[in-house]
Amino acid sequence: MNCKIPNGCIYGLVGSNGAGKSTFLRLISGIYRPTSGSIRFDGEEVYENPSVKRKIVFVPDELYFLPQANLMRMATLYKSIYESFSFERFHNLTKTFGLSETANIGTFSKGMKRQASTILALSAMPEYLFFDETFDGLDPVMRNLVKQVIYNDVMERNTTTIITSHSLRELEDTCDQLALLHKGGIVFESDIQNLKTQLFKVQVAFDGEFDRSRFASVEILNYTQMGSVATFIARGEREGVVCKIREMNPILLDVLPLNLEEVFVYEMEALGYAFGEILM
Amino acid sequence: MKKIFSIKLYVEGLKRIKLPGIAAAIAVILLNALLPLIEILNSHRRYDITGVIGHSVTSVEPYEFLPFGLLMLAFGAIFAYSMFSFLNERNRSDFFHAIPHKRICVYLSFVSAIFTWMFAILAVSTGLNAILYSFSQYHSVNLSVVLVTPLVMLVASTMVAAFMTLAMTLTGTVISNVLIFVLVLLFGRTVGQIFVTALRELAPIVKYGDSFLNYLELEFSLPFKLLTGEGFDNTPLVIYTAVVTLLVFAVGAVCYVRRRSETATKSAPSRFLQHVYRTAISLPFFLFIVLTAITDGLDLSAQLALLVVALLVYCLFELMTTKKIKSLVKALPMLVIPILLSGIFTGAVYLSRNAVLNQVPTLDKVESIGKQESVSYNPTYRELRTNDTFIDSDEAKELVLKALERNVEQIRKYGNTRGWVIVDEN
Repeated sequence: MNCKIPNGCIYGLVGSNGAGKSTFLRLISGIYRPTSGSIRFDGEEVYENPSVKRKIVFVPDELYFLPQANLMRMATLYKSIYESFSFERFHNLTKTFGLSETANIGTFSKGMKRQASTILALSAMPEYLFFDETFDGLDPVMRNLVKQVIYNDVMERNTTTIITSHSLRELEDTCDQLALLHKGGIVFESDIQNLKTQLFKVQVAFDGEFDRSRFASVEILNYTQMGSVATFIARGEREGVVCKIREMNPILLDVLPLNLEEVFVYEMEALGYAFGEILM
Repeated sequence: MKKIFSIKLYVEGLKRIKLPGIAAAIAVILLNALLPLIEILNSHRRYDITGVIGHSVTSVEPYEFLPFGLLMLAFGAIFAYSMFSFLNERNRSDFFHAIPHKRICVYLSFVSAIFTWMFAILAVSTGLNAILYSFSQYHSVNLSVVLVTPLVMLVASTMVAAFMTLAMTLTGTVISNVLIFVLVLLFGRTVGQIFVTALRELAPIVKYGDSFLNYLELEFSLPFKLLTGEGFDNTPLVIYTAVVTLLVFAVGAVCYVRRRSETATKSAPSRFLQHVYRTAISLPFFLFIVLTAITDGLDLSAQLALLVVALLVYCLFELMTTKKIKSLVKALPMLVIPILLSGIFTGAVYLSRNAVLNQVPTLDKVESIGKQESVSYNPTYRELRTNDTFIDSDEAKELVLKALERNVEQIRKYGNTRGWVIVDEN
């Protein structure tokens, strides 16, 4: 795997089951020992290295809480483990999320447990936060709240966050960068803003006959034509492309935005992958 | 200096086993309060009837500590299991592997917490016991017993905790935790006992009593001794147990540090170790076939029945730990290993027998002749004097040596117990 994750970035990693998302996070969290090679943070290996590990908090898909514990008890545990754990932040976050610090976590719903684990992770004040499918299944309101809290952390403390999911929609409005993981390797990686603005759908119609060669000056990923109407996926700066097409005097010109899934589909097809086989 | 102990993790460890700790404390302390009260009441009743304060002023006997000692042995295993049970589940195991502490630090902090609970329970319960007896006009408190007995109990229960801890680091499911705990606790002693029994059968002149072979026997194990109310005054045994305990904890530390988090929910960290466990668990049963052949001779039906038992143990272990018929099918060809090891064991027994039988000393090598009698718990003067008496006359030495040579000859001629062992009475 080869990827670049800038400091203060919220990096999304999407892939199907068995792609290697959880394994990747567990490796960089120092839980798994690599069978070969090494994983380093600022030149220091992470495995069995407390000085690096104290900068990292990993929140897994299957959450762990002490039996019969409440949030306060878990906070005490985290405080004993992470020296930087802040009770002030912990109390603020529990208030923000509306969770009880004294209720048995066993009585919490699935969503509330995920919130609880997020609170504990953020209160540990780490430099690196890794969430493994933690937000999958959260309702939109709660997802927005979690997103906001993570954003605040990134803004205030320049925390670097990696979030994995098997759903693009879960990551779309949370992450700065997205990568697609397939069979243990990254096949595609890009900035989200770039993805959304650099690719768009164009519908155009002309009098008379024409074919794809007419649009030689435009970078096209996917082209279909039915009669005098052509539909294609263009990559590039939107205004520039629209100007070029207008100069060709079309009788119809429509520019439609793409959702993230469509972007991924076309980008993957351009790379030679069948997207449907990768993300079920 | 690398941090190998954390006070905060140690305190967390104390909290982790708070429940079994409190349960053990209540059970043990109650028992230690009840026993003296019952004993004092009984003594008071005897005084009321006889007007005499006992036949003598008695001291508190070590065997009176036995009930709570047994409890402590059980709780030693329970504490270790509770502390390291996180190793059986992926999410819990991942959590403790993710925390910013070295694994050795986690291990030592948690082991220290186990030891603290056991020490505290024993100290409080023994102190309470002694205090209650000290108020009794019918009893005197033997301070050495009060100090030594809980220490012996602590060593024994810590050893049990050490073996359970080792088992937890080597396995990832509850069934395999328990089976491997039994294996590591009993394997060495069981194989040793079978060896010694077989050797004594084949070479009856092998010395009983004070011999290095005693160290191989099941009896030379403090937990087993405590079950019969003995062992409190056997200093070499206590020291040996303490050394073994430290060694087992050290091996456990290495295993814990090397253990992968992914071992959680698996019966063994690797297929190779699964083979080792299965072979080791079934080996004593195969060796038992060898033992019965040596002690009772060849009896096809009996040995066949024992073989079936051994095979059942072999197969059941694999099925219980992996829950897959496919694993069992793959394991069947590996049956050749315990069979091979049984053959090697048999060879070792016979080689040892020959070595023993060849050890007939010459007259000039014998310093003196002595007679050994088993010494009872309250030995008589005769028993003590007999064991302390040695005869160094050449005539006596020659007489005994000749008898020994005849014994060896008879053993070589008639094999095992079918032969006669002759002692010259002149």
